[in-house]
Amino acid sequence: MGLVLISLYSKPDDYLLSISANTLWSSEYQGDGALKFIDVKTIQSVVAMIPHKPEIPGLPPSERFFLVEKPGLDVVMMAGIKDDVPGDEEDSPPCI
Amino acid sequence: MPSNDVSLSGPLDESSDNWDNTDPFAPGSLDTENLHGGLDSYNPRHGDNGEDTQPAPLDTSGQPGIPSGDVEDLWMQETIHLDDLRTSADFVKALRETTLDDPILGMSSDAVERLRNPLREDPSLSVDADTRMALELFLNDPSERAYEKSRATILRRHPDDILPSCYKIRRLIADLTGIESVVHDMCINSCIAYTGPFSELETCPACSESRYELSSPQSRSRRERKPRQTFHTIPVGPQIQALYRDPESATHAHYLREERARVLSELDQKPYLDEYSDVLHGADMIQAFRDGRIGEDDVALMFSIDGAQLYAHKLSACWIYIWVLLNLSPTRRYQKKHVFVGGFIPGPKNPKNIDSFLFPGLGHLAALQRESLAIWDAARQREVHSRVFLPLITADGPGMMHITGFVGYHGKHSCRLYCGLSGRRERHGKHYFPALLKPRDYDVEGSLHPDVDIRVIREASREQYERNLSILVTSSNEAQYRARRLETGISRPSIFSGIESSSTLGLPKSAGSDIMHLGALNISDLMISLWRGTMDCTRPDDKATWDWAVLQGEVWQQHGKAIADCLHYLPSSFDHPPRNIADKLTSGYKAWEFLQYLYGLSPGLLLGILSDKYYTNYCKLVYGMRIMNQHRITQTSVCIAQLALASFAQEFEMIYCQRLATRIHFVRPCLHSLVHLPQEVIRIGPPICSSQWTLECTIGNLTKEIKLHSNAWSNLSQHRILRAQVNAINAMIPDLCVDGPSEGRLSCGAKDLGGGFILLRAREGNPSPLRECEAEALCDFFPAIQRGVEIPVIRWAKLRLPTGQNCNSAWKETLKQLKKRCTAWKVKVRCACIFLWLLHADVLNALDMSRQ
Repeated sequence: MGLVLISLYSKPDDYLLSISANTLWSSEYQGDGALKFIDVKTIQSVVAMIPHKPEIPGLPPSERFFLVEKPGLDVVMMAGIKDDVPGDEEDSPPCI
Repeated sequence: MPSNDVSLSGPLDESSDNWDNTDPFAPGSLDTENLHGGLDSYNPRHGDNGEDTQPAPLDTSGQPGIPSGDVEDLWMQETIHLDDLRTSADFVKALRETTLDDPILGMSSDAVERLRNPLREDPSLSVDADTRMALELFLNDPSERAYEKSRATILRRHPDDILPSCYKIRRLIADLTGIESVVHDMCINSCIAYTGPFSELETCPACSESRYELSSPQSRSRRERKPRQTFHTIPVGPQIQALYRDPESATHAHYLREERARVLSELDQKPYLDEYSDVLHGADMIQAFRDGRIGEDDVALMFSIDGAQLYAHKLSACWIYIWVLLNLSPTRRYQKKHVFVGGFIPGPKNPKNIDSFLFPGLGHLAALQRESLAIWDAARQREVHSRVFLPLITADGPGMMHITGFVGYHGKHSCRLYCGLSGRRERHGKHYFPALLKPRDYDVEGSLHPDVDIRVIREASREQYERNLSILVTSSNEAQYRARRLETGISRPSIFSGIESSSTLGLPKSAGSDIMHLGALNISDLMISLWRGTMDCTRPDDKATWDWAVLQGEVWQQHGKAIADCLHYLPSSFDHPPRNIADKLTSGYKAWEFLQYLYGLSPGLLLGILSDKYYTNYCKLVYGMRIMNQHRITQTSVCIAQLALASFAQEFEMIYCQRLATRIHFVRPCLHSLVHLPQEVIRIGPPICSSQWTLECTIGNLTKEIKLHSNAWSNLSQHRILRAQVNAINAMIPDLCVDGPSEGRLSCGAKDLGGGFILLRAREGNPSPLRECEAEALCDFFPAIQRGVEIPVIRWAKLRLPTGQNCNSAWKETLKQLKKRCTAWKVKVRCACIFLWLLHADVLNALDMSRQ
């Protein structure tokens, strides 16, 4: 079994969740304050956390991160884009 | 209400415009428990149509002059009066009569013989060591120059080796695989192909150009005269046979057999599947399993066609079509090595009659369907006779119009799934738009039907389509034809009508929804045009009142920059990260970029830019599409997505169009197609499984493989044939291993943890102790560990996930500067977002010891 040390992001902000039909998960980075060991195999996917400073009523603006998952995680695996990782973009056809 | 609709509360009447209170998708109420009410009435195994709650297009009962009975009788010449329609019907009829040895299809008698009596011996046995080396050399880089170079090098060192020449090796590959192209003549301007009903012509009926080189004397027989242009088709039968000749590949192709059995047995236990992750899980396919149209030994293919521009800024249109073998599992079948290339229609112009170009490939398929395909299944060591089922045909919007014969997207009945929704016409214009709400002060004749309830959007109906097709085809004059075309939404018969009804889902059900163009291109274009204020403005409407058009001037520039800035935070596994949209929108922003922009980043980036009303509406779209873009979709998610997308589309009309007749063109057909998507999941599985992504990739691959740019058409054809042969030989002799390291081979020093999790180097050389806060966390995980004891661990830099993504450990990543970081160190664990990850495997032994 492999172990992973992680630092949990905070729970997503409720206000932003509610105005965004649950699509905007905005959290704070907690650093050493929320360390946790987990089993490697509970990891599901790699996501992006993008920094932003949203206005949230009643809160001072602060550095937060919003979650971006890869759209259609499986699309790429299935469609075989991974078959050849693009390097020379100029050569690929402007077909799409 | 038909039984197959999700219950969607919320009045359509705009007088109660308080969506927050009535909308079931208001975020506060986004609770799956609440949605189960909808589930009861959302039985995936509903009957075909339910009741019609909406007027069907052109109710024909009682109209004189319409032949009764079956669409099968339709292709009788006497009933068709108009030339163009008769041509289409002739192709359909010809398709119904083809046989494998018909000279019109162009297969050699040897090839037909082999198709009927597949070879049985193991192909790898017929290849000696030298030939095997030659094959590997050739397949590594299938170009003549590279091969001859390597061959010369080897022969200098080992002059006694027998290495065949490039010509011979290509011959050998053609012989081994049995895959050869059939060649047909075509018009020099690519108007038509001289196939089927056109095969006897000597000049193009569209442009009157001659078929043969003018220098070829007419007195000679047709065989001796030189055609001015030809095109290639690769029959699909031998490609399927080749795949089954290797035991391993044949075993992979047993997926359909196994999945069919699993699905049927699961449905014996409960009324519907919990999850959809393949075309085979759709209700229409399950029906075909049940009624025996797809048996356990049968073959199922998906057809996909697309036009491509080979080079930017050049007139270089061409069309390519492929076959996807549904007998392979979804993880294999879309890979370029498993996709069967079917045919290639060279440009430089778009074909005027695409049926004639498809005829050789489809004629071959239709003949196989009648005769059944003999396959030597090497895994089971027996010959099976498979029926070939064609459930789905897919294309982008304009391509679909070509192959289905439906009217274009500006027609009155433009729904490509043929649901029968009537569009509304612009006041001063010919175009129709699928607006649900009837505008105020609107008086356009033929578009005055009342508001359409989005909850009663129907499913496609095959019977309705066939009924309407007979009406159209029997039009007695041009004026009548136009009127009937308007009312039926059909402009001509599709060549796919020539496929026997027991071997296909049949139009309109076989028309896939193509989420790629819909979601990534059409919807993004609509939303961005609105937000940028670049949409046409019809007077007396005034752009000054467009309070949603906020992405202009400096705001637009800043927005573009914000997108580009995300680059440093997107992991490399996200592929092409979106570029600055303000700079690149008009110069080839790619589908993949739009997808990430609209459904990934923008809920974050548009917050505070779009005003609340438009922002929340847009987020409903995102919510629904994030579900629709997945490969696994649960029954519950389908219902939620249905609510989200229906709610988005309906609200869209209310907040953007506001019942103004001048804004009817905002309601583009993509908005309507969107609402069908969730229903389509239930019918034919997740949209991704039948999307155009596959074909776009194949086209990308093929064009990359063209190494010489002179005479691109014939070059591309050659490559396409070679690709089919290379794929086949790989399937037949998998240990030739020409596509780089085979699946599952570990890189140096990696450690496989099982289940698709692999630790990758770098790895810390010597164990080093945890920091205090880290040690605390470890004690929480293993309460047996004594606090305060120093615990040395070994850190690893990377972990490969079962998704194929790599995640990097903060151990290495934090040492790099932001711009160089891989940023793949944020991972998702059962819905909790986490960050910073570290560490490794070997610590456990130590821990076990400390426990004792």
